[in-house]
Amino acid sequence: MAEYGYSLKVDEKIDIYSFGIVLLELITGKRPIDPDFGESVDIVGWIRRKIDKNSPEEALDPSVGNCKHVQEEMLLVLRIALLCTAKLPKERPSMRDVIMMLGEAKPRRKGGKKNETLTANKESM
Amino acid sequence: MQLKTQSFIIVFFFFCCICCAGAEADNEASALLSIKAGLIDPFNSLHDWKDGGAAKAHCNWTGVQCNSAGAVEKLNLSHMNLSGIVSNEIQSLKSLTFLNLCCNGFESPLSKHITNLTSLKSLDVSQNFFTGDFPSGLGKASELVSLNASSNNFSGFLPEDLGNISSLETLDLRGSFFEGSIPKSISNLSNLKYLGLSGNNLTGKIPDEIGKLSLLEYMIIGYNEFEGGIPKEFGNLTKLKYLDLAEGNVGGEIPDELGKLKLLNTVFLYKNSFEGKIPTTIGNMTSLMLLDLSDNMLSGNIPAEISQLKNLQLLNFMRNKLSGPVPSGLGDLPQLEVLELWNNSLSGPLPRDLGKNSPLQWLDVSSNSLSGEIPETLCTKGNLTKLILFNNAFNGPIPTSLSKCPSLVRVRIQNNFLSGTIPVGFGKLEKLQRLELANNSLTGGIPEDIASSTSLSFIDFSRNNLHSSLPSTIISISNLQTFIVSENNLEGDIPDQFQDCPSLGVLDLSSNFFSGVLPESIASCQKLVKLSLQNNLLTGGIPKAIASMPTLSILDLANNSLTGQIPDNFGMSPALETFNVSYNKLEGPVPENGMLRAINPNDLVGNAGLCGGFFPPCGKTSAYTMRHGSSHTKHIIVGWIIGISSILAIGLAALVARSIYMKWYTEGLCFRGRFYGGSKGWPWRLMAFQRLDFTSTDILSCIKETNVIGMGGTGVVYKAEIAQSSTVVAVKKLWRTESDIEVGSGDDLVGEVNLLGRLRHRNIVRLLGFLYNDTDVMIVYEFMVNGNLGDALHGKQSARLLVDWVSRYNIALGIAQGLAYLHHDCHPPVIHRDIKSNNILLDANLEARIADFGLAKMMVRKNETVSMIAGSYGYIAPGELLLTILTIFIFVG
Repeated sequence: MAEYGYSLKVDEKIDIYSFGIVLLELITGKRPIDPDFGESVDIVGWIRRKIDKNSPEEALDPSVGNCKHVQEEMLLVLRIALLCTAKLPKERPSMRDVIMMLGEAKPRRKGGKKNETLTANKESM
Repeated sequence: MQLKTQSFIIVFFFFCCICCAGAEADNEASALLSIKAGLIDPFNSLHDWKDGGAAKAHCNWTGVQCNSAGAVEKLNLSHMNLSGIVSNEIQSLKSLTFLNLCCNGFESPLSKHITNLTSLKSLDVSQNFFTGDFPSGLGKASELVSLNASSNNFSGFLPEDLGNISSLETLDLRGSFFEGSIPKSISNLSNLKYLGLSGNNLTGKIPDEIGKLSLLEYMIIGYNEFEGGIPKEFGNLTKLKYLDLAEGNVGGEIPDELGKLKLLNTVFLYKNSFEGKIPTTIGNMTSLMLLDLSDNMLSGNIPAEISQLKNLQLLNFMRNKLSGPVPSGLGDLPQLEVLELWNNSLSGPLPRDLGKNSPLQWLDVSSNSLSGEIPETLCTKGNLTKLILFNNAFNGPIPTSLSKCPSLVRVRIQNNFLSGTIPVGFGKLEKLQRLELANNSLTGGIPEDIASSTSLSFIDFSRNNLHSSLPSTIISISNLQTFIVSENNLEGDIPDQFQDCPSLGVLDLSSNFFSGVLPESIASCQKLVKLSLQNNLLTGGIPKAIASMPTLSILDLANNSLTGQIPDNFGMSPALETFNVSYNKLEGPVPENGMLRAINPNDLVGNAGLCGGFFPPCGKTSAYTMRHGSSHTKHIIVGWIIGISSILAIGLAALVARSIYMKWYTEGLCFRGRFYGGSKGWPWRLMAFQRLDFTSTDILSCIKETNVIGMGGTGVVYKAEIAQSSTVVAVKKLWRTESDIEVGSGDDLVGEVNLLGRLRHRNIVRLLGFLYNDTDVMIVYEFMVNGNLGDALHGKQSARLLVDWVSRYNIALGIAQGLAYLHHDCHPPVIHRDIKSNNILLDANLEARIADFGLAKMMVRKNETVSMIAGSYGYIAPGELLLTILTIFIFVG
């Protein structure tokens, strides 16, 4: 193996890439391979071109991203998807990092208690 | 109707001619009626709003109040469940000074015409669902004192011209989706006392100019996405009483200048990224009552100056990186009720006098490196309810004063170095629910009084050096749910007092020296789920009655000296999932019914006398002969006869099976009762990972073409509806080739599936079990009603599922959590290799479940051909796809 110059260590990063593709499906509503993409072969190339043209909003699934604050939330997740689909496996985040980043991209919706100024009634369980 | 209108017009003209004020009043009445017309009023709260009637009649309508000149001055439509739209006509109410639409169900944008009400002094539209931008232009209402728009769905930027309303004292815009930064113009609100902006999506830096609001008393701006830190100009807000910046995404150091705020009584800065040290000037904020800096990255010592805050009631510093000692002066604070310092790196002892001078209620300093003795004084005032000290290095005895503290609800002091005995008295504390003393060095016995408690629900004394027998009535504590005393030196009999154990769910007496028999009365614990008695010296038989316990799911009796047979009703025990009787002295046949048919052999080993199932066959009479001591020769003869006839029977069965299999294979039929599917006549075996309500026959009868619900790189998926138990499962029959069997990889495969069956995560499709014979493997999964993500997104019915971003986000998070489990929590890590939307299933709550994990790898290893390449086109990085193909060619070549 080594003499061929390739060391294919099939590690977690292969799943991370695929996960990134699923994220893109959730964001765009499109399949990973779609005739609409034209010359760019796949969804990753398509998205990256939209970003290069400075119009990533166009890539968002219009059936969910119909208002501005939702679009912004979706763009946060798009950023994660792009990291996951980095060309070089070592540049892709780990799944733990992804969860952390997703936590930061959590949609803001009103919960019942959002307005109450709570005293921090927390306890280590 | 026409008459009415006519008369109205006449009246209108009449008034119009006579006096202008009257016309004005009618104008207002009609404006109110147009407002009513735009409203949806489900409870008809505005029933008395109707035209006709005397002049100024509208002044008596519900919610309406006029001034002395007869003009509408106040309009209060709060709490009426109103929705619809607020008509533009509202601008006709020129004299309106007070408008309250609070607490209704408005979902529309707020009419811009509201900004023409320039006499407004108070505007309250809070607690609705108003959408869109907040109308700009209110700056014209130069007398506005109070604006409350909190709890709505407003979006867009905060209106810049709010800064023009210099009379404003209250500005409450909490809880919407406002974005952008706080406008600097806000600093013009020189009369502002209350500023509420929390719970929005505000970004940018908190403007220094806020420091100019010299009358500000309340600032509630947390739960936003700011950047930067707290401006040091906050030190100029000398009237400030209340500062809430919790979860505001702010960082940097907490400015020393805050120490200048002598009136500040509440500071909530929790859940931010503050770093550096806690400023020592904090000691100057002498009015401080509530101080919460938890969930930050603060480091260094807790400043000793904090002991100067004589009004302090709540002090929360948990989840930081604080080190050093807990200032001893904290023990002198006269008001301190709550002290939470958990998850830091604090060391040294607790203040010697803690609790002596204040009505201490909560003390949680868990997960630090604190040492020394637990202070005697914690409950001096009799208020202590929660005492949480676990994961530290406390030593010395448990103070006897604690066992006399009647307010205690929770005592959690496990994982320390406490020694001595458990003081007498905990059983008499009427509120005590949890008593956790595990993993210390406690000696002596379990005090008899514990058994008299009426409140304890959770007792964990495990991993100590307790030695005594169990108090005979301890199991009968009426609220007891969990009782754990494992890994001690307890001895004597298990008390036969189980008649009354109404709540007991977990009983763990394992790894002690309990002897005697397992009392049959234990079966009367109707709620017992887990019974762990392993590693003791128990003798006698397993009481048959235990098998009928309705919720018992884990029964561990391993490593005792139990004798006799396994009662044959155990297979039919209603909830049993784990049944471990290994390393005892059991004998006789293993019953082959119910869950025992699929039991893991490891749970039975170490019993020399067991036979049947995984063990050597019993022979028809072997059990009989063993017990009756019949002659050896007779045994041998019987054995021979059975042996020869079985060989004949197997041969015959193989022939029959082969013909049935061929028939099935060619015709694609499937009928109940067939048990032989393999070409070599080896029966299907069902290996269960949990309790199953069906048999292999039930499954096999559903493996037919009409039940196919999917087909993929690893196999065909069937839906199996089992009528008798009304369960539905999915069955995947793996693609196999002859070569697998030749190289004998079947065992590997079984081992692999076995491994996967042990994975448990809410975002992973659960393997229920698998069926295998010498040629095929079928995996039984939970059935997911909402199908797969690929169909939900791209299929025809996509319109119905997943139409909002929150559910899509939750799916993304679910997949991530499932994958993180496979990658980081499994040893060895499980690489899925074929993540794609068709492998993500959706359960009834639209929660994501990853399917097909681990199979891709197995298939690659077994069939190193390009067609069996792991991963799916479109889901692998283009470069890696090539690499994978290359590699496999190299392997194969």
